[in-house]
Amino acid sequence: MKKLLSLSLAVVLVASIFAGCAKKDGKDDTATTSKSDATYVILEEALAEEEYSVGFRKDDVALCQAFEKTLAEMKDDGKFAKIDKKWFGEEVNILDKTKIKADATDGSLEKVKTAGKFVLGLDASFPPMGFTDNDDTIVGYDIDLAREVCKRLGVELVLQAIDWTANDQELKSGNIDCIWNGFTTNPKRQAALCMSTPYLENSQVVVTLAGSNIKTLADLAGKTLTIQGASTAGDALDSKPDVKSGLKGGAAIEVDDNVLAMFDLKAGGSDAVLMDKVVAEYYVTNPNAGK
Amino acid sequence: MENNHEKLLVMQDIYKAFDGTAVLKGISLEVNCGEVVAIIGPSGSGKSTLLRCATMLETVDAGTIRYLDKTMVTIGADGKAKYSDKKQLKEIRLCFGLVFQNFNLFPHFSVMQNITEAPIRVLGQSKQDAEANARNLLAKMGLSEKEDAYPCQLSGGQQQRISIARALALNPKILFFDEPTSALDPELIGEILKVIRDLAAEKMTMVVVTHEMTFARDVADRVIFMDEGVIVEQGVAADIIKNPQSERTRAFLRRVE
Amino acid sequence: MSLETIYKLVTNMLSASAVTLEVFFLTLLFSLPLGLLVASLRMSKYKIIQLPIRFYLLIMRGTPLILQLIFIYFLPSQLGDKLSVTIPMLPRFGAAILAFTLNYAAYFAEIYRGGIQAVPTGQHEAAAVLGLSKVQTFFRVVLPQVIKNILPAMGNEFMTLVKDTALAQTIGVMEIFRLAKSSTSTNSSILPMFVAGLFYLIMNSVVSKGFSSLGKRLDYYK
Repeated sequence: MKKLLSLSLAVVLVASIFAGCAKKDGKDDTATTSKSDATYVILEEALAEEEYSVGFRKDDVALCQAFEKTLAEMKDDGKFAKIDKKWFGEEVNILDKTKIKADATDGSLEKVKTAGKFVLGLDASFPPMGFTDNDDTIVGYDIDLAREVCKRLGVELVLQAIDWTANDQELKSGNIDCIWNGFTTNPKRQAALCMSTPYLENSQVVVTLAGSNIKTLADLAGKTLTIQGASTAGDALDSKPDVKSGLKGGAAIEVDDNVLAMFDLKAGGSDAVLMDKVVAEYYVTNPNAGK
Repeated sequence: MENNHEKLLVMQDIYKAFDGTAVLKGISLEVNCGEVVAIIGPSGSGKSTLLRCATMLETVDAGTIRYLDKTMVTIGADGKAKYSDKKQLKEIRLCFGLVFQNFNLFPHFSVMQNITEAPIRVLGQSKQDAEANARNLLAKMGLSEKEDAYPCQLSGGQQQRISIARALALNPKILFFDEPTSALDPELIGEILKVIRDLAAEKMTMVVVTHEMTFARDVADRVIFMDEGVIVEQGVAADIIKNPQSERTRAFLRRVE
Repeated sequence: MSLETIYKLVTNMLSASAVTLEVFFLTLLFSLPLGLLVASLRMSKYKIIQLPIRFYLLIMRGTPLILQLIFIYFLPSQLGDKLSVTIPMLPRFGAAILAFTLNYAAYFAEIYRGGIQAVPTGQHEAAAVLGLSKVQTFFRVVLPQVIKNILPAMGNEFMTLVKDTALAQTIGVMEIFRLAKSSTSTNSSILPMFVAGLFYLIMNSVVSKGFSSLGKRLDYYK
């Protein structure tokens, strides 16, 4: 019996490899209407309001300010708005030029300029901020911004995919020069890092499959909720203890990235995903993203 | 009828080939109750294979084997060997014991467990009975103090005596020995031969494949000389060894002397 | 990190370590006997039985365990998608145990096979001549010797399993490594990782100690 079981599993494994290939070829994409065509719904109630910043090492203030200054210039000459429109269809940035200072005297900017390259750390599975497209190239809103800033500063942009949970270790150890990947600013990060002036608004929202009976946060009681481990979604959930304690198991399920979380949701492994609104909206308009 | 009962083992026209190479080419052999038969011959002559066929470690290609009135294998309608049913074979198994060249004791069992395992598991003896019987056998082998030892703690000669005791514990009607002294240091051979001699004195039926000519001459009632898968010559031990008729036997004896 | 957070971390880690232990013991509970079955089928003289088993062994030993985890967890829904039927998903924990069991059974099977083949034919022959049945021969004569033969390889495999349990977090099983990852990021400190490392180390010292004392107990024979 066990033999049969393991045997059939092996067969199924192989079958699915072929099935996977077929999907890639796009041969049967239109043939069936089933879960793969399910669209996502974002709950109106958000768990927390947030803002995105770029995170630099605590001591690299000069570098941070140079980036802020360049972003401000981009806002002035309309380049920022152009990138906004490319990814979101409208001008969305909230960069406040009045908050930008230029008083730092440390050598961090010179160091990057001497090296001639600037290493940006990201988890590369965070659409539309920074993600890997079908051509295996890392693209995204943040990437376009960073590319333009680097061009203006005359340094080469190097993209370094990292394990998101270890992002601050990567930064502290000097493997990367900044974390720029829909990086939410909060007091803890402001204390540990040099966080730039926020450039985009975000909120933590709950995403479900269309047709789900979860309509409000209260409906999450007894359901499973998946989040990206080590993301601010966890903090947002902690800020709503009544929602958290109502979840099945009293905690969210953590996976490595949002792509896997959405995959899990689509597969039926969980009832909802708590994630950045910016990302969630991207999934709603691109339901087959991350396949 | 009485004559028939005398014949403990009857093997007729046994043929056996391995991968097309004929090893036994029509061997016939009878062993009477209480008889000690020594089988001699050069290596590769088929002596061991003959024992292995008699003890069901190998199946014969053709031929008949019978223990007393129980047939193990006979010629079927298609001319090939036809073995009896499982139940019959199980009964036949209880008729014989086999002592290996390399002892093949169970290394993870103590001496006592080695001897009592089969009587308990196969004959269904109680542990007490099996152990009492084992102690008698150990005393006979002069190894009473070794019942808690493990095979690896014993000399080759001691291990071989334990393996003889293990075979005897099932009360076989006939005991086969497959070169029982070949794996032993020369100074240990004597102790095994003495055990076999003692068994012969008790009228134990035995078939011994051996290279020990003196032993064959002194203990065996009958000596069989095998070469290239056939029995070349057989007869009273002293005659064969002192006065062989065949040139092949003479050549062999010259080599081993 | 404050003392309070450290205290909280340690208590959380203790409960997460229970999940790790469950994965470890349940995997062994299922894969040790399954491996024996697979080994016996692998040694079958019939090609029709042998070939699929060899294929299974190739898949299990030839692909990363992390992929097998993802496959087994997501496969039912993906397959259901393809066939337009609803196939219920395995719960995360169940999928993890299944993946670990299938994977480890493959490794165990090959270790058993090596161990069984290392038992001299003379042992089988002695048992056959004494009239022991096939089953008696296997369990009374062969298996005890196999256990001694495979002990070192099994020790390695057990220790690898302790460390491999960390892969269960891939499909969202909240075991100790996942917790360590999360709290490392929340607290900006690698202390939780260190604690997790310590946990694996302690667990493996126990495993290692267990195997060496078992080895000593079987030292009475060669």
